[in-house]
Amino acid sequence: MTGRIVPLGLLLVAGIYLWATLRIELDPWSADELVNARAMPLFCGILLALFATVMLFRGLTPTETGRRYKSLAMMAACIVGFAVLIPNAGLWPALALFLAASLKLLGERRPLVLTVAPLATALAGWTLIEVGLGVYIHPGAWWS
Amino acid sequence: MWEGIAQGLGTALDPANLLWVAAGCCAGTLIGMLPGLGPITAIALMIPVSYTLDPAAGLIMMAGVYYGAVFGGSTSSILINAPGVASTVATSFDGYPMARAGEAGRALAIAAYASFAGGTIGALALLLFAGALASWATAFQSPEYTLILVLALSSIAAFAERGRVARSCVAALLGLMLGTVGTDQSAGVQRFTFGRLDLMDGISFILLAMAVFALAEAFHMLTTRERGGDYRPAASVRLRKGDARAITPTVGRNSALGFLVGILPGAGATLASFFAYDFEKRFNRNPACGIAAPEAANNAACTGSFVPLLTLGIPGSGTTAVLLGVMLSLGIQPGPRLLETDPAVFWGVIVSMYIGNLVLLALNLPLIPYISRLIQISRPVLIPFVAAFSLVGVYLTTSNVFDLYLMLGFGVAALILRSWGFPLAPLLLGFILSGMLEENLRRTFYLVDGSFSMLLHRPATLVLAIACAAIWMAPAIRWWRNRPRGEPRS
Amino acid sequence: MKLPGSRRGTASICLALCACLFPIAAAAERLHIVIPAAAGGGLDGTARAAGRALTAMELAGTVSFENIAGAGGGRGLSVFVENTARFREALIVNSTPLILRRLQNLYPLSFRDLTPIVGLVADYGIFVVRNEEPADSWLSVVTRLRENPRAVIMGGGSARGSLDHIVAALALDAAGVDARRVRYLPYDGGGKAMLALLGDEIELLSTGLGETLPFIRAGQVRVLAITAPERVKAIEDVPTLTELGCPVRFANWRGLFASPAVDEDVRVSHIQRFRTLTASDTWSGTLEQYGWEPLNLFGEDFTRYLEQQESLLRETMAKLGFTR
Repeated sequence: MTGRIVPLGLLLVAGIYLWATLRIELDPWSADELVNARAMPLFCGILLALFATVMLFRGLTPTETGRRYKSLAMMAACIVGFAVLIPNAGLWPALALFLAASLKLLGERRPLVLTVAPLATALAGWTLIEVGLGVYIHPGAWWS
Repeated sequence: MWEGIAQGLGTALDPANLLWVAAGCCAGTLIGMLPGLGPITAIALMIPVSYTLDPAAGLIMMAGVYYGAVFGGSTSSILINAPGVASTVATSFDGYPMARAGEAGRALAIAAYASFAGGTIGALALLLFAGALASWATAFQSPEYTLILVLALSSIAAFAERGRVARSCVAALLGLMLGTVGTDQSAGVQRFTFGRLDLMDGISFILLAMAVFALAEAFHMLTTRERGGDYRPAASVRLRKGDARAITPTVGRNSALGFLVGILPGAGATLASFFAYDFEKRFNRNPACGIAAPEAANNAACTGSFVPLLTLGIPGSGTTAVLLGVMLSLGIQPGPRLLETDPAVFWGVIVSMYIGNLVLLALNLPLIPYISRLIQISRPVLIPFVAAFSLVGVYLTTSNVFDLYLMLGFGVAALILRSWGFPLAPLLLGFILSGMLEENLRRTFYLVDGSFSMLLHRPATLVLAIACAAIWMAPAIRWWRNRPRGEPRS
Repeated sequence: MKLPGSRRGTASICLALCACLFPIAAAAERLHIVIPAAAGGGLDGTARAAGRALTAMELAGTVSFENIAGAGGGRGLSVFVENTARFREALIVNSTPLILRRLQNLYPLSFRDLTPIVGLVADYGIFVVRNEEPADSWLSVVTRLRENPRAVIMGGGSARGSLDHIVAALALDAAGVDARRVRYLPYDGGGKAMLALLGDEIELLSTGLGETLPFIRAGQVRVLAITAPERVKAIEDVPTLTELGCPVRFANWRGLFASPAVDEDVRVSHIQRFRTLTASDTWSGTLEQYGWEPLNLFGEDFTRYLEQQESLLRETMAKLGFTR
């Protein structure tokens, strides 16, 4: 059964892609051309659907099994938190928090590493990018 | 010409200019190593500094920033599988596994030597043939580009493991499909944006590369139970005995290839590095050559891109377009008349490229032991930093939070594909080629207008078409002969 | 000999550092410019050149630039308009596609959602052929196209239905050609289109004067006509379209806008600042360096100009099928 999941997913992707391809609005100049805005997507989508169908019937064997998806979920939560924090706390504070949280999640216990490393990285990033290279990054809604 | 070269030597060896080429190279290589900051940003960021200099010094420094950034770009690609620019993607194929095996120092050293040689050979070729090769850039038009891109696409075969050709093709198709998202380059219509402003400009290369390579790698390390994912302690920080001899011919031929491809406006350095890797891997399994080939090619190509820029005034890439803007603001008008109006600048820049490459080598080699030690930190510490590096890199280029969610999605999808044995390199290759291929294909069909006979009047097109057919047919025939019966056990 | 330069560099880094550390103290002196494009493009170059000239003339203490790329400029625009508090005193740089994309319904926002401050520079559309074709003149090209609209392959540095194509269609339509049927090949940027012209893939190139000037001076290409209202100093021998009997005047402007919520006194001081700038020698030096033509329209004059351009474009684009 598991061998069918990925081909099914690919077939779904191809289906959505082809459906969206047919909804592309064509401009008046290329509508009657052979290779217009829909041509390459149509070609790719159909080919992918064919490959996926063949794979579906043959089944696929995974090359790596037994992943710990729980830690992936926690890491994903950290990334979402990072993305939510950036517009509010600013890039560098959010970066420090993200690093601290994900280090903790991965089992880091030394308090020095948990605090100093993220802060130092954020400070280094700020110094290098904003001060050194003069790139402007919005400081975040909470501070302005 | 020799008079001009002597004059250029005078300009390049002026103590102040020596200082500026060194400064440009240092800045370029350091910015190139940072996440998300490739040559284009490096040049844009150094523009204010160039205004304080006289034209020759300014251009010499900016050229240094450019090839310095290309030089430095390979570092993150080798160490943490995070290629910040398209032209270093091919370097990660053999470079990253070597770094994982505890030979980060060796990989970086090979990359540095190959880059140096590629840059130097490129500069030499530029010196000798710059004028003569200007017409090479205009000889290639849409039909030829289409065929070259199809040829490049054929290198997906190089990434397919035995019996996995189908998966390799699926990955390439997914890449081609991702490349069609956004505003269509030719007709200006919206495709696959689902009404979102964030998708209108399409998916950026750096986002996909960071998500599919760096972030997916971090996820992979995170989710594998065994400690085999750890980097082994560095066994060597320098070249092995046979390396120098093995990579010398590789570097030689790929520098020449890179230079020639680099002259072509378009994705010169990227195509050059993929061609070089594919070409080398067809008859050479040595991973040292797998690093040296793309690195020599992309640095030579970066020098080659100065041919259309200096002699025609045409920027072949986004980076050289910014450089062109810098030149105009410095009061230098590149083009056929540059040789007459500013010979000191023309030859000075070219000669300074040798010096710049020497500076880069002298700068990078002593740093290697320290840089390669960076990744020996334990896995729980490394993973967050790799993830943060790639996320911040993408955020810096667009300052759009939506891109981080997109990255997360692509990262997870890439991890799943990877667990089922799909190679990810063809995905990125397909993505890089997608836009260019479609654009040139459409122009070709428009020009052909129903009759293919015009293609036969172009000898270059015919040669390329035959090469394409041969390269595509060969693996197809081979695959059909040993086609797998049932699913092979990896 | 280069020391003064590097000292200035160090000083500016120190200044930037101070500005970061004391945002409140420096607020009165600071000017913030939003660039709705990535670093390194044409808009970016205009904004930074203007900012540099402002600092050089001490019309602003420090100028900071924020690149918000995405959606062909649409994201920067919407961020700027939505965050009125943050950008109350800031400026945003923009150009003709602001009007085009609104007409094509690609943006929800138009210049009416901003406060026009200054139309700084203009880039005129030109029609270019290879120099080796001495027989070609604008009139001969038009004559051929009138007979058969598909006789000439034309190219441009952007997609169909965007700036280069629209300018060409405007001109050809005014000359009595069936502009909807003319063959137009899109290229990824003016440089590649120029290369296609030099390599004989296209015969006629529709592009902007600014980026073509070096090629004209080098004698590689020849300009047939320009969309400027009167002859331009840089290429004085080139006739305008109006002279050639096609009354089309069009410029790709680049200008600066303030937030919709800007205070009246801030708006007036912005305008005053740019009036002083555009009258200065520093600025005319900058224009010369980049090959830009001055537009110099301020406040309400700029608004009127934008309205005129919009109505011209709306009418023709609908007629030629550019808007759906």
